[in-house]
Amino acid sequence: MTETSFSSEPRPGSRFSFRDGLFLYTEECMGTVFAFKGFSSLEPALLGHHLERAGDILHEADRTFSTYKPESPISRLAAGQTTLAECPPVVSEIWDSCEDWEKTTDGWFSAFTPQNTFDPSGLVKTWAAKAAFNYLLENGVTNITLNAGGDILIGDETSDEVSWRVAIHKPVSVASEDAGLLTVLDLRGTDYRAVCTSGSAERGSHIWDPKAPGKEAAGSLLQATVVARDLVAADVWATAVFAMGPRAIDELSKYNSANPDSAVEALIVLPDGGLNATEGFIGLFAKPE
Amino acid sequence: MPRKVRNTVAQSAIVLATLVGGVTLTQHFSAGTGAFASAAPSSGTTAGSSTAPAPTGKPDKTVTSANISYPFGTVQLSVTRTAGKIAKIDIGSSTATNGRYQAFPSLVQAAISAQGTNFGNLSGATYTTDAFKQALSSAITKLG
Repeated sequence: MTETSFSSEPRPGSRFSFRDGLFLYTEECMGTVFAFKGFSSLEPALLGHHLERAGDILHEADRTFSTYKPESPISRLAAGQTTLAECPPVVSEIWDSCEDWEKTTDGWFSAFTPQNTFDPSGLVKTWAAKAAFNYLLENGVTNITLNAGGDILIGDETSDEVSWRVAIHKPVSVASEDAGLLTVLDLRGTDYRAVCTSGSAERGSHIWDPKAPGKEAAGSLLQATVVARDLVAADVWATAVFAMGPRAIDELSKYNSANPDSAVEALIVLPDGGLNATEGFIGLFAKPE
Repeated sequence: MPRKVRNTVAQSAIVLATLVGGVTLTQHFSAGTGAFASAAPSSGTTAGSSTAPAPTGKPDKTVTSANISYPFGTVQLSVTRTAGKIAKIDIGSSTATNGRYQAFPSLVQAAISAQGTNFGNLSGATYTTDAFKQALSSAITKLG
């Protein structure tokens, strides 16, 4: 593939490849990597421009919401150096969204820390990813999928079968020697477009060993994956399910019954390596080829 | 996934048996606190092993299958027979109790069966930029 950049000053963490109509664009942001890929018949320069603009949206969100940047509005807000009214309007938008999600998940997702500060990190990445993705959809890049640091979004116009299939990683780091797949899902023909996985595999040195059960405290999970129509919903619910522990499947089933239009499916990996899932999840596994 | 473990699952051929009479079935992990430990099916639901005991008319007896090894843990099936005998053997994916719990063997089998399928994206816990770069060389991960 040809490495091509179409900006006079490309960001160091950007890579763009475009050949035979297939493109791949990776952007380092928020401490992780966002990978956009798909097919396009746009002129390379125009496609490159749109993808860079999508990257701009990610970086703008990072500048506003990064808790690692002391000068960001969110950091200054947490430090009491500014007020919500003085922050960019998008901060209030995210604040309201977090309040709604806290209600929806019965408090299992919350952006309000024990220190009474506002930390929306749990949904900013997917909120920004969705905004970047929507920008591309609106500008003629519709045959596209996004991997936002492990959170997956699939465009309606995705044409190739393989791009509708999303693998779920084992509850170990993707960089570890034990890296590998838990399973593969196929979302083609469903209303679902987003897959998010919550877990502690990438933080710390947790080693998944089914022969040594009980390493995790009771009530916790090794990993939770949620499939939803919306990327932010998948992300929020993955966080909530992971926090809830083994009872999450029961709670989610009740939520789905009461809210069929926003139903989500979940797969959890239990502390001893076992699985549980919502009723509809079993229909999402990819059929063996 | 280790090939040895995958073959073990394929060969163990989980059989769901229908039992009549007052039979209590307990399906639980050999260790740990998995959710299924508390979801013991009541009588009338099904579980069994590929070596289901033949009806012999013997008095009440608890029969425990060999540990069935899954990649995700082990399951030990215990059958306490208080009366009656095995009337029918089914291989299926019926749910355990009230439809909200997936029958453990069928969920795991479905997950395992899908493992070899080609895919376009990989979902996992959020990885760092460094982890992404390290993982790129692996044939298993398709992070970009």
